[in-house]
Amino acid sequence: MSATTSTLAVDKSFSATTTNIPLSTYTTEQQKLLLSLRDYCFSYEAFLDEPETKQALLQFMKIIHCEESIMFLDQVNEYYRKRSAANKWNALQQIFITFFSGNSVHELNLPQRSREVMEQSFMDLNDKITLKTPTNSSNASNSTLQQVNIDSSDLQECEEALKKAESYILVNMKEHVFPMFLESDTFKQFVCKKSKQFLNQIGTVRNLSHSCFVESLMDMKSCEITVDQIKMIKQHVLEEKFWDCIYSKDTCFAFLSSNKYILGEEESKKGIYFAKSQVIFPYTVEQMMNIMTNTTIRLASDKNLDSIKIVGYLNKSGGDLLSSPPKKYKSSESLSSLNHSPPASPHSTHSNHSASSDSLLSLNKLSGKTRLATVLTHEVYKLVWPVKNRYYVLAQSMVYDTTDKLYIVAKKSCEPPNYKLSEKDAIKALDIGAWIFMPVMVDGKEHCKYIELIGTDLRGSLPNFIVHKIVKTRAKNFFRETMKVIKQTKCDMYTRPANSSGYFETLDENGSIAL
Amino acid sequence: MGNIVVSPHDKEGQHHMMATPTSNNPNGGSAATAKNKSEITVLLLGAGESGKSTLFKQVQFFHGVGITHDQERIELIEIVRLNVLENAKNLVAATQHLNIPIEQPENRETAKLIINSLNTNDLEDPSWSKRLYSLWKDAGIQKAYENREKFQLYDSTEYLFENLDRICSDKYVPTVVDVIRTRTKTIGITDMKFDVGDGKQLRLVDVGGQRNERRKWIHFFNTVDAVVFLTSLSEFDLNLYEDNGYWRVKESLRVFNEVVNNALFYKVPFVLLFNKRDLFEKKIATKSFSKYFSGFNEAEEKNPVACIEYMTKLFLNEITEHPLDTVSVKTLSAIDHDNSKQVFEEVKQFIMTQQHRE
Repeated sequence: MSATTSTLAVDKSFSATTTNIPLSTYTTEQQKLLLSLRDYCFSYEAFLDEPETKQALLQFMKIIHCEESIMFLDQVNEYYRKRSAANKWNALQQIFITFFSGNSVHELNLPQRSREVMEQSFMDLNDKITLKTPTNSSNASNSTLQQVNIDSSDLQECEEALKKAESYILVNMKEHVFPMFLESDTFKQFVCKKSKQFLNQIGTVRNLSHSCFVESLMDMKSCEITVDQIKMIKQHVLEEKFWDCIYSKDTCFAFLSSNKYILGEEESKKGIYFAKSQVIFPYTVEQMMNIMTNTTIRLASDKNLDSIKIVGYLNKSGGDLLSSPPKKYKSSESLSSLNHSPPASPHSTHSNHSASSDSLLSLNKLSGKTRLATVLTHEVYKLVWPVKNRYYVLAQSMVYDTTDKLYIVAKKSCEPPNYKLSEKDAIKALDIGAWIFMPVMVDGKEHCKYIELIGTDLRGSLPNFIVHKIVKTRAKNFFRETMKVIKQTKCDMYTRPANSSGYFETLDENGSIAL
Repeated sequence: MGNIVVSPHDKEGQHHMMATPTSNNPNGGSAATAKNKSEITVLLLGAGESGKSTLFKQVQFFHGVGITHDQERIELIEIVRLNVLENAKNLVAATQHLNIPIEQPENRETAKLIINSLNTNDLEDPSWSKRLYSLWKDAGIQKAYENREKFQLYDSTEYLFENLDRICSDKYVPTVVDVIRTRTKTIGITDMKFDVGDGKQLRLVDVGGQRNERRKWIHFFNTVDAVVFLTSLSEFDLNLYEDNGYWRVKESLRVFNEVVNNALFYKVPFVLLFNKRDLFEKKIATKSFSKYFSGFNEAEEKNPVACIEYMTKLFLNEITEHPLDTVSVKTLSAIDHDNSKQVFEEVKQFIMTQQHRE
């Protein structure tokens, strides 16, 4: 066996359809891009429309020896571009010889019937043309050069047969070749040199995927929080693979995100690490929610938090921006029922709500795009001199998740329209965050697992090691300090706070959703 | 499952062939160098719809490639649904072709939609599960299905229709079995590699089986270390997809003859797999086997072992050049995971042992 045999060009220990090239041979940037490919849903049609992807597909199909299919599609396109019937006839003859003739190396793999229909109509047309065209005995062989006597209606049957074959080949490629191509090295080598924008051109980000989440972080302006957004935030918080544990003691954990994320349309594209802490408190979910959402307690216990004010409210699924939560959700009816209810009661409280006819309706038409009741707040944080104060304008929404039986507050920065900022000596910072309350049983008693996501971009330079240290220290002290606050506070842990900065109002309106 | 041992044959000439020096083979070096190669290339060959890709998918599955992950199977939703639509279309077309009316008016309506406008996205709607199932159960469609040897239909038809309630839902994720059962017509080649110990890798190559595809096989013949030839036991009453007037068994025998007697393969181990044993056993219970084989004893036609023995002889008679002691014959039911695993393991052992002997 000589290594120069032409057929070996392909065979040289090369597997065409399974990946051989290890990820490590790509640059870090390329690796990231390749890993995110799973988050995309690629469109076969877009691949055929885009010249570059089509070229790559052709290259792949040559490697796996089925290039005739894509060559055929090209020639059929050429055929449609021809104007005159005579030119069309010439193109058709070429197509027939190349792709339908049993002796051609490029014969298509077609069901017998489609091939036969084409053969039949082609032969019929051929006969017709031979009869129509006066054969000047001298140049009968030049018939293709001469103007053949033919009009477009003659081509109709052939064209239909051609269309059938074309659609058959299109489907076969989509079913068989396209999925393999997406897995192949040919595609990976092609696509790793491309940008995210290019990916968006040939595919769409899969809903709720990590890439979709990353993309959603670019929007720090919109005041809406949708079901999908909360879903993605929850997934991101709970998915282990996105986090590195940097501290753990007893039931306290602190994590830093394995990747950096860019909030808003930041020009430097440096990105920030997200922080996550997870603690188990020896109180019920309900008690912890009452404490943690209590604005008075928050202001008293968080040394940095200087002020919180509600600057707007959005109703569930539509409506204009309101200046404050609507009255009916501010009523204390729910508070009284909460007073005497068992631990899971906050949930049962609002599931009573959703039994009412209008929310039942909205439950039925709930989709990922459904906008949730959202409260907009303006929060100011004082930092240690000489660091300037920071303020956030946040959209926040709270729901009960029936899938994992947890309460979640999702928060993100926003820019309410017509909102006048009057913050002196403070820098606007961006934030994406979540508070999750979920019940866990410890010695037969309900305790509350509390998970907090902080993805804050202080917009100003803070060295990484400081961020690291802050996160660690905070996690270390968080449990102890919160416990201290709980013990000191005079507030009734069994009562919903009168002022929860709108959280409970959004919960009442949003109710239970399967996230 | 039934393993047929090939004993040295009654044909005299065979031993001569074995003694023939490799120099007869223009490309004789190929097999000789194989023993020290780190890669063993195994070709899956056979006519169309003999089950090459099904076996290939099973092997991928044993080795944790591709279809084992939910995420990867999500990509295949559309392919499964295309299979459903294609089956439905073929059945409806067959009722017209065979002149069997669809009985229920609402099923006729469904049939119209299937032919004219239904696409894979529509199948997300669970109401299609009921409509398609009702069509499937229509006496007319069932009658056409009983006569399925008269037209082209995938083996998985019944399976897919029985699983419509899962497939027609927006939550649908194909199962491994769904993926194994779906038919995609292979064009060109597909390959995979996996370790087989001793620092060696096995490269399994799957190809298309239709006539035009077979012209491409030659591209790999030079580097082959073993051939696994598949043929479908249940095709005895069927005609070719690419040539409806041509008996599939005849085609399989012809292709087998060309391949097994190819000079390039003299020295390589050769496995003949009789696939679709499950379908075959069901089929001979209701259909006459002897009707298609004049040389077969009619009294034995309900006995699968006797039928398979007959088929084995038929195929082995085609071997004129290849040394018989490097040919192994087995039966297979490629849609059955355990059976595929076991048979493929045996095939691998056979190939490795033959390699070793070299």
